[in-house]
Amino acid sequence: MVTISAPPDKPRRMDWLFDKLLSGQGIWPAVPAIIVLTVVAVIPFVMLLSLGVSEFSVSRGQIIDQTFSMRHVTSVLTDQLYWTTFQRSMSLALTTTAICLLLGYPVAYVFLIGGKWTRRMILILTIAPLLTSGIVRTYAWLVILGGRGVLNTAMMNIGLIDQPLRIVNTHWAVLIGMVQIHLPVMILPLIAVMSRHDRKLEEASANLGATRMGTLRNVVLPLSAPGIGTGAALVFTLSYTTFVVPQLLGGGNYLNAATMIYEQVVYSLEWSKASVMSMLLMSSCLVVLVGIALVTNHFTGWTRGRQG
Amino acid sequence: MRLKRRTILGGLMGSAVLSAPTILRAQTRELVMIGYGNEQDQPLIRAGEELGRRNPGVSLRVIGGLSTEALAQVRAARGDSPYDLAVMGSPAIINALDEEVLEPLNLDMIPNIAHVDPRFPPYGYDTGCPISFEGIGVAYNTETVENPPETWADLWKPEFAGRVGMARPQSNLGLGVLAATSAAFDRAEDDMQFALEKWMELEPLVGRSPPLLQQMLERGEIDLAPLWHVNSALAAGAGLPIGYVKIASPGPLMLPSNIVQFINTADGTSDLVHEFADILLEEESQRFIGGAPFFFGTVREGIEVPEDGRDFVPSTEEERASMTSLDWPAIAPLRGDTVADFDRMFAG
Repeated sequence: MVTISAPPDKPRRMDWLFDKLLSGQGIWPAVPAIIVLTVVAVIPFVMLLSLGVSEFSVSRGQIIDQTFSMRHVTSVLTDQLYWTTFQRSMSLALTTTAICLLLGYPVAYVFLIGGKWTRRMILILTIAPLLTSGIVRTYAWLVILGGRGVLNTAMMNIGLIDQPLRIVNTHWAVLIGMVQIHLPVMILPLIAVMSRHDRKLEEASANLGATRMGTLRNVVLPLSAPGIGTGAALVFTLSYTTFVVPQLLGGGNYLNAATMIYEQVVYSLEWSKASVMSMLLMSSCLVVLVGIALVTNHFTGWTRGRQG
Repeated sequence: MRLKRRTILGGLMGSAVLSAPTILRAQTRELVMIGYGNEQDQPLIRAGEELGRRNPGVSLRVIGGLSTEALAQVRAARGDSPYDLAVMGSPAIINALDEEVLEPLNLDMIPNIAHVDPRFPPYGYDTGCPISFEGIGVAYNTETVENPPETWADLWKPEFAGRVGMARPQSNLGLGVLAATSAAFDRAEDDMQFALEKWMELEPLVGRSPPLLQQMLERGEIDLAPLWHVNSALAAGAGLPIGYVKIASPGPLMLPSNIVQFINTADGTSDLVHEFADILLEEESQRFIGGAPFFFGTVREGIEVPEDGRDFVPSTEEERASMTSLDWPAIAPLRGDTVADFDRMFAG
């Protein structure tokens, strides 16, 4: 008996594409995100950056003539104002990162050694601020640090000061706001990495005679290096490119790279200079991130060796 | 492919769903406008409602923002303006004209322009229609300042040292105050370098924008600052201890606010924009604009300043006669360079 079976369906192009996208292999699963990012981020970004290396004229809102020129790059690089602004942004971001690490690491360590309730409390306190807008949290600092704010009122009531201290609209207000806003971003990666530790390593260290400090320095700290690197990279990037905190807490005398770019785009309509500044901001940020990655790699080398 | 009834019905329904917004838009015409983003939008909203009553299906959406932000957005949209119209101060019109993003209004299509004080239309620069004006004076804390300044030069009296605030020059307020400073010391209004150096002497606290400057005054960080009269009136009306002086020499200073329309040729809203401007110039609208709590300066002749607004708006014959504005066509193009110079001196 001869049976005739129907020929197999010719695979259609859409099925093939969906198979690839859902396969979870290679670059295919990332293709939708890459397309979206290319359209909404990469292309506009390249267009914006191109303005930094060109002269253009505008008519009825459209760029009608664009020619290559390095005039704006040279003008920005030779102007002390831009160097000062970038220096201020860089030092602010590095200081914020260092303070966040100093404040965040002990919290993550307490999370590591703490009981169930301590861990829950730390998680709640770390995540809760992230549920509100950064603008609201920054405005809260105006209430606390202002001339008639909670801090000044309290210090005057207990006789520490006669006149309110000027904190808002200074560099210190910006630093305080930045640390508070970005601290959770440092703590969360530290907690994530430190939670994966095998606690037996610490017990072994103690059994071999190490003090608590010795165990912390020689066991816990090296193991948490990836968390420190990730946290530092995140906090640095956010602090270096931050806009809201300096805008609200720094006052009109305070200028960092992001606020300067914003003002050049929106108020001065100096898009070429803003574009050059964006390039500088992005490239200098990348340099520091590469530095953080190299340092982190250096301190995690032995861990990777063991895992390999 | 075989067409089934289900396929055809599905296709028809899909098309209907996709085209619904277009059909709805065709039946209703929505004007999108840049306003102030606060209580000051009330006269605009009210006039928009009247426009809707006269033209069924027409509505006005007022979006808060600065007119300079709108210029940046129009440029970012490559000339395809997301807005139909805006309320724009004279300096912003100068900047917008440089960008060629405004379509001049035809004042012949606005009958009520005939009732407008002839001093105001020139500040529309053949492009906008004046609907109100805002004064630039000095707002002060009534609890800490006993004798507020009367002229711009008075701000440099020793008793005010370290107590004065100012707005950054990217705002019309900040730029206007610098020009007034130069004029007060017998310099050309566009001598921004001189004005910046004079302000350096005061070591002022700087507000990034007029609203933030106002907040600094309310929080007691400064005792006095140049401010718009409308902002001062709203703060005083809210019960805050804020007074206002219509500063002279030069002044009282005023900045006309104009209705302007953006290049937006696709949707043909120009007739509605003209009608909207005309509604705002009607006597009843002008009385509302000039009333509490904003006390905008009115541009229509014959509208008296209410009793409560006389501390903020020039009301006497003498004040109205000496009321002046600034040489905005000379000052406005200096905005970018002045901001950079300001940053070198104050934030460098």
